[in-house]
Amino acid sequence: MTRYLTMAVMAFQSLFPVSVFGLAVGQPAPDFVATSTQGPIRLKEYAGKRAVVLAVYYKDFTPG
Amino acid sequence: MQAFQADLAAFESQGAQVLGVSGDTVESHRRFAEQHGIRFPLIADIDGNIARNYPGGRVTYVIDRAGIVRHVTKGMPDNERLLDVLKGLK
Repeated sequence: MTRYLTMAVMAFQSLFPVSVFGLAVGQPAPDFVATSTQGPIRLKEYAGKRAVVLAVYYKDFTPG
Repeated sequence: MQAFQADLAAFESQGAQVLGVSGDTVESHRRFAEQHGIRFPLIADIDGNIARNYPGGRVTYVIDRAGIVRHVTKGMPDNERLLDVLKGLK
């Protein structure tokens, strides 16, 4: 029963882009290249070197 | 981001790179970083390309050295929890 439910959920999720459900544990982190306060950054450049804590937030000058 | 800065040494001692991302400009990020002494990079996701791939508003992702997502925190991150996750990756 659980197996069928899992299959049903997976089939349902496959109908939608990743962004609808978010990025889940176990998935590859999508690469990006962007400008930062310390120059251009490419996520993939950390691969094999360092773990990354990627903190997405709403707005500068907000608490937290 | 201030909370990450407060614990930055602990994150760095776990071999992790902290990256902040929002839709603000680099100029705004520079002022924000200067005001709060933030020393890790703040990424200007002006066109929202990163937010599209990393959705959910305030979300913190721990990505391991192989480039795999190992932890996702929605809402305000708990640094102790994130540091535990990083320790577990070793």
